[in-house]
Amino acid sequence: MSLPGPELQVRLAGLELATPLVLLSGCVGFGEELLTLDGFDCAQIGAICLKGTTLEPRRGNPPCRIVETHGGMLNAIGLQNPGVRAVTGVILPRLLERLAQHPHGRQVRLLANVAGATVPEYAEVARLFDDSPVDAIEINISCPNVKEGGVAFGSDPAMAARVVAAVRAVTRKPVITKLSPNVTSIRAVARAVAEAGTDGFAVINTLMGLAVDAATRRPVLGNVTGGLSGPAIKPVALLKVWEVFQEVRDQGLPIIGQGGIATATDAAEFLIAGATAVGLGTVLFQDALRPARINRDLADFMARHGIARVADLTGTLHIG
Amino acid sequence: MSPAAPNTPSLQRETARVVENRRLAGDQYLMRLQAPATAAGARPGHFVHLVCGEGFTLPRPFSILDADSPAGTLDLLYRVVGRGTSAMAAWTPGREAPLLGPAGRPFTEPAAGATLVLVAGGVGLAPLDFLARRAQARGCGVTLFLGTESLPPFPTRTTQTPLAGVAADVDLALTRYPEDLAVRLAALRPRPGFYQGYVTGLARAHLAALEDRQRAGIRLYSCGPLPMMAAVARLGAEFGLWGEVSLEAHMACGFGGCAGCAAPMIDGEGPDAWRYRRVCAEGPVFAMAEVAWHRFS
Ligand SMILES: Cc1cc2nc3c(=O)[nH]c(=O)nc-3n(C[C@H](O)[C@H](O)[C@H](O)COP(=O)(O)OP(=O)(O)OC[C@H]3O[C@@H](n4cnc5c(N)ncnc54)[C@H](O)[C@@H]3O)c2cc1C
Ligand SMILES: Cc1cc2nc3c(=O)[nH]c(=O)nc-3n(C[C@H](O)[C@H](O)[C@H](O)COP(=O)(O)O)c2cc1C
Ligand code: FES
Repeated sequence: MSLPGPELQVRLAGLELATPLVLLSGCVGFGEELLTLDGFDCAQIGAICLKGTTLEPRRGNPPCRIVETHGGMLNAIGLQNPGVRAVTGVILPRLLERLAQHPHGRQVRLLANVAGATVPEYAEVARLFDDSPVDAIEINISCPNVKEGGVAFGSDPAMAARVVAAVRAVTRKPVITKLSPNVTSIRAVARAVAEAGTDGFAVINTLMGLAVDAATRRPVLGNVTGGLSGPAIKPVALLKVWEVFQEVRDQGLPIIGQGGIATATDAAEFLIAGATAVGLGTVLFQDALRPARINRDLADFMARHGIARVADLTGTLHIG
Repeated sequence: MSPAAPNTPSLQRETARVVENRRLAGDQYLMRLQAPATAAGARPGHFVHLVCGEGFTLPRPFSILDADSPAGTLDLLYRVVGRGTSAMAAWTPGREAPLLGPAGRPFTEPAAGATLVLVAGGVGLAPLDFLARRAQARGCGVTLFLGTESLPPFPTRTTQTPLAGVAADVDLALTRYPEDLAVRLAALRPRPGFYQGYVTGLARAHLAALEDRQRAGIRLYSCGPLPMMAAVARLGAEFGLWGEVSLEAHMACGFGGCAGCAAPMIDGEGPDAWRYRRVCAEGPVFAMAEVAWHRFS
């Protein structure tokens, strides 16, 4: 008989996650695609964040939508999605059925990712998701790739708070607010949305960037600007997680740390900086089966350091 | 992102091993990979999403040129155009490279005995080569037109077998194919044995020279630069032929997760009835008539 290893379960805003790994919005569609991948193991993940969803269908931005950059990538998808009614009416029922057929699929928590151009749109999308099987609602006030809403809301603490309050008013499900690094003070935004009733945070969304084709002197992306993700943004993301943690630790609000995580060591660093769970996005493009390896290595790391539970790592950064 | 269910068959992620990697002609290379799980399910039109090494955030997509399921191998035909393909060109046998595959929606399998006209541009030959050989093995008649400005990837030979609408001095074929698989080459600059002009001009001359009866059952397939495929789609419309194209797009995930690989597709009636679909999941193969050619930016 083997001794029980370190515990990977975490509690996040009232949700029990089987592991601290959350598959990030926009990187795994509406969760169905990965289930067709041979060897994909639902037991490895705590939750899936669905693609950013708006009230009406959105075509998204013209191609080119992605470009590799040093240590990362830029994307400008533009929130292409079929609209919330197609998500709740068609996609979610099918996803639940597929998860039910997948070993451990039922334990995967689902987070809707809500976006909009106006405060009432956010509220309406959230209300429709409230009446759906998703486990929590993530408010995306940080998408850099749409003209209205998105990061325009996320960069002003008062506007951000209005969005969160409007969503809070229409749902009893846990509300996670996804913050943008493209702001002067992420602490001010975090404080404002905490007061508006968020149950937790996702930190960070992508950093705004530009890619130029020198030969044609044109932007590479159809949308001109895009959002930077991947290992290149990890130090910024760690800093932002740590800043938000300091702001909200007294209220016990959890953070899903994200931005360039590719290994268990990266994950541990985010936990130490203040995250309760960690998100995987860009790394999945290289290796959609990476969650299994990260969990295994994280358990090893914890065993080596005598840490029994993931939660014992959260916010343990020693300064001075 | 569509509400339609993804139709990828069981996708594999495996660590492939390079068996062979050699330069064919110019900047075109052939790589044979040991990748048995992917090879087992590979059909013409499928692609692999190949990790080019450390220091690459995104894998690179390549059509499958050939798959040998009993041997567990896959062949790729690739052109060196940038960082990833330059790295690949230096790989030697034994090197390991993770990949995802067989990815995407393959070509619709033609009915046994159908007649296929294939129009390829450059390394767009890869998926059509696979299709040509598989279809011919099932009793289909196959004519392949290849437009290439660099040297053809495979050795050439002359052919005496006449082909409708094609001048007798356009007589270069490729040794890779048997005599009864008709091949002709096209290039913009004058080259002996080549048709001079766009490959679609060559294909059009052939189609126009056929009797209605011969033309009626033809299935058109194309892969290559976008303007070339758009011209093939116009040929299809002109002659009333059904056809499919294999599109390219910049890809991140390769499994339908990111919507990065969007291409515009007709969706209903009217000029504004179109939407972006994912090349890696709903494609890369699309019906020619389905593509909103006028919406490519
Ligand atoms: C479904 C599919 C099948 C393909 N099959 C083949 C094949 O069989 N053989 C082959 O040689 N190539 C194929 N390609 C194109 C191949 O993926 C690109 O040439 C490759 O990704 C370039 O990588 P790189 O790092 O060398 O170039 P980069 O340094 O990334 O870019 C160099 C140049 O290539 C262009 N490019 C980059 N990525 C793509 C892309 N995904 N599609 C088109 N152009 C791109 C860039 O715009 C740039 O001009 C296919 C693409 C797709 C989508
Ligand atoms: C292609 C792509 C699409 C994304 N779409 C969304 C989205 O719809 N909503 C959202 O909140 N974040 C979106 N993001 C941001 C990610 O969820 C994540 O916060 C960010 O990429 C940082 O993590 P990473 O470095 O691990 O990818 C997207 C990221 C990428 C790369
Ligand atoms: S490359 Fe991600 S959806 Fe096609």
